[in-house]
Amino acid sequence: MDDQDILTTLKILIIGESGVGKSSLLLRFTDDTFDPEQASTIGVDFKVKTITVEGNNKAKLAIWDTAGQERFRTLTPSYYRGAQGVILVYDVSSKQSFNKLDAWLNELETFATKHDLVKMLVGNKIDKERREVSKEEGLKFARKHRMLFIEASAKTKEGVQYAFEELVEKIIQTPGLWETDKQGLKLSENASDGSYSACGGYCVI
Amino acid sequence: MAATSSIAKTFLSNTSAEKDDIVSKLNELTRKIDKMKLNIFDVTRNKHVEFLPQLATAEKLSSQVQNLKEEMLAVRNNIDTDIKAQLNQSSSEFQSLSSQLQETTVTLTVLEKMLMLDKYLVASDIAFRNQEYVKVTESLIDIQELLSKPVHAREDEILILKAVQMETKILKEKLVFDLNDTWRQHILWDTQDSKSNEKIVNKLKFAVSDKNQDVLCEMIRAMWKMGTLKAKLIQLGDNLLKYMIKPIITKAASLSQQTAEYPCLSVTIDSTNEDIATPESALVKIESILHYLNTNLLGITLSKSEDENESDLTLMEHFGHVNADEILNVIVQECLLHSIPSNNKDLEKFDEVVGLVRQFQDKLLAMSFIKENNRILKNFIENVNVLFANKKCQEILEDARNLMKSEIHHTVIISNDKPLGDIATATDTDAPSAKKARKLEMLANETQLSDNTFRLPTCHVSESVMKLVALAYETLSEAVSSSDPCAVKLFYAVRNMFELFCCVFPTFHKRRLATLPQLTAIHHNNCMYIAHHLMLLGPQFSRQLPSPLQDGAGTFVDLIQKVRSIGTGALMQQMATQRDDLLDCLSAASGFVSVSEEGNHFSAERSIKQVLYKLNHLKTVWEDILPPHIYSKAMGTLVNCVIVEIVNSITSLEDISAEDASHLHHLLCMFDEKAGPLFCTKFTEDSTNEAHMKVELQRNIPKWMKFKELIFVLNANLQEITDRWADGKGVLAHEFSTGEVKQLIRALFQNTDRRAAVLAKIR
Repeated sequence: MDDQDILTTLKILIIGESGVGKSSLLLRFTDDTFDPEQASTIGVDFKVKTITVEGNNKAKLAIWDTAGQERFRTLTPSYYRGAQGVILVYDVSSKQSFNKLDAWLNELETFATKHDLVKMLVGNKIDKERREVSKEEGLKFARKHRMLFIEASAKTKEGVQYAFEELVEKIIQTPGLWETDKQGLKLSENASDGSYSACGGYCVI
Repeated sequence: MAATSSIAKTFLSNTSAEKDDIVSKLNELTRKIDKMKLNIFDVTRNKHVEFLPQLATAEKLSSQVQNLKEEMLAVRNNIDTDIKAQLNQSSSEFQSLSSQLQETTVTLTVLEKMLMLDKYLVASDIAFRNQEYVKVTESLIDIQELLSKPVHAREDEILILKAVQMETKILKEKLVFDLNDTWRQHILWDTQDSKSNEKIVNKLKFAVSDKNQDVLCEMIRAMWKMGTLKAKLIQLGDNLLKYMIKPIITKAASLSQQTAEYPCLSVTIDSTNEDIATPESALVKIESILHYLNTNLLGITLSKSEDENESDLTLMEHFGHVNADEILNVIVQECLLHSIPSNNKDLEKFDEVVGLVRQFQDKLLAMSFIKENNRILKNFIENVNVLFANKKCQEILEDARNLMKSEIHHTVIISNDKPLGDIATATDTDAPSAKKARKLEMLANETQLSDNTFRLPTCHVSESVMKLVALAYETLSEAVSSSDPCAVKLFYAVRNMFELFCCVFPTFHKRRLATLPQLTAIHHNNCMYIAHHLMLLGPQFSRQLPSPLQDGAGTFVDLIQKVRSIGTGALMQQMATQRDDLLDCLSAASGFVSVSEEGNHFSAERSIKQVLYKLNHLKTVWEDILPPHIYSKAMGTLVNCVIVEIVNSITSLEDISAEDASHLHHLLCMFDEKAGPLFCTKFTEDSTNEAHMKVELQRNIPKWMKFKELIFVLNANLQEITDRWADGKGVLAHEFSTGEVKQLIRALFQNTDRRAAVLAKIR
């Protein structure tokens, strides 16, 4: 892979309750594989993938897949540092995982260093028959917290690619969020262009 | 003119009157002068005519007086010479007579004294022959008294007196000798040397029968009068103590009385027996000894009392006067004080013993062994409570000290279900009032306490320390049911006990605590365990303790910090020692330079293996002992020290060949593989689960991820490293600084354009 034409590297975090399918989403996105017996993540997993954005531009994604299970998490979640995008995952067949979203958002607010980072809410496992969380509920939550929203299934590939692409797109569109890493000057140029409003929920299947 | 005539008339008349008057006066004067002439004549005549005859008469009288005077003088001279001479003579006669009288009187008294002396000497001699020692003594005392009062100034010149004095002395010596001899004949000790035999029989025999009872009496009274009795009685008392009373008390010797020929008292001692006699048996035995003495010897009356109200002075009384204090002190010190119980239950039973002591005292009084004012036993009876508390405190501290000095490594498990170990908690008798309870509830709602707040994690503590804490609980339980002063004493005994722990334990076990990691761990737990209970003890007991303890003074919390820091200090010290040890092992790898060379490879691998061996050893000795989280933390800290050292060594290498890298990768993988099991303890659930190990490694070793990244880098190509770095957003960047990664890349890869490009990206 040639790194020459890569526009930027973006740090993306995947968080959410244990067993909602964070690792599965990542593996479907990076390796296009799916393991029904996916083992619990311990501490943190890390993957790199380059995707094409806005015409011919390429963006390298440094994706951090974190452990959902309390006992497998490291004591200080230092991986939030410098994250530009966050994928918050819940399981549409588990109301409990949906109810925990507030706690995850709280943790995110507490540890994230970039406060305009882009958040995407993903309702995973839509292939399952028994749903406990409706799409409307998800959408409502996402709107309330100014997040992007999509429902997906790592098993059936549905919505996975789209979720990452949308997130990256949004980050690229957010002035001052990614360029600052390369050149400090761009920050001041785009700072005047403050018309951006984080409107959640426009992104649907 | 008329006037002149009247004056002339008047004048004229006056002159005539005066004239008549003068005439009459002149006549009278003439008559008086005549009369005067007559008188003068008479006087003159008388004076000159009658003078001579009168003079003659006077001269005659004068000569008569002169004669008379001479006569008187002569008579007076006569008297002076004759009578005075006679007077002197008679007075000197009187003087010589009176001095004669004096001399005669002196001679008489000296002779009288001689006579008396003779009489006494003869009497004493006769009495001696009849063994009437009292009479002898009395005579001798009389003689001495006589001799001590000189009746004559120059008495010492009288030779016979000196001889008498000598004789008296001889007699006295003889008497003393005879008396001692008689004493020995009648009061017989038969004792054995304590070394000779297992069974020792000490006998006291009085060779007294009806026949010689009188002799004995005589002897005793004579000694009494001679003043030698006291010494004898002291000796008798000493022997009695040494051969009978002390064995009875300290070795529970048995006592028997025989009356074969003479009454005999024997004490059988089993020298192997070291038991202290119970006060009951000792008092009975001692009483019977005294009773025996009283009937057989000491009942003798020494002197009749003159006052009817007072009883006669008996030998027993005298014996008691001389020996009672010592004997009673021995009884109190050796027997009664030992028998004071050390817990409250027994103290109630001890009232019986106190009763016995009281009876004993009464009997001794009746025997007149002691007088009313003897306070030794009374003091004991009155101070039983104080003595009890003192003894108890002393015992507690002694027990505690012994516990502290016993082995550390006998341990017991303290678990969650039994937060206080096997110790029963004190039951709270007075429940807090409803209002208070409500208040507590409100408080509880406000602040959520963890369920673990008053729990000690499962771990091992020394059995001795557990017993020590149990002793504290026991003592405090006893304190709340004791009298106030006693309770205060006991409370402070418990505090002293823990203060003693702070001093004794680390000092006594100093060497082993420093050298044996397991004991350090147990010591750490011990301290935490004690600190835990120090926190709980106060509230459990203080309310039932007397003021001021119940008002807040009854606490142990001030000791907690001290005890804890002793425990943590020791553990930290031990960890520092272990860290130095581990780093010492690593130093053999000489910074992992050129590990592909055979010698270097061998020493590097050996040092890593040594480190792992040491860590595994620490696991063996610590994992069962320390609470799991403490174990993980301690182990994590040590492993962290090791990997920091390894990572620092490798990241500062100038050049790492491909072979070096593969060797290093291999070594680090080996460490990675073996480090996981260090965190699988018996106490953790799913200990075999690999996931658990991974989490534990990440959780407890701060630099573990850095170590893992280093392993990755050693086995990666440039592209993989670039991806992992991900413009400073990857995991590698999370763990390593730019400088470190650049240094590693320069060491690992040859200088190519591609390397330059990668290095340029890492900023």
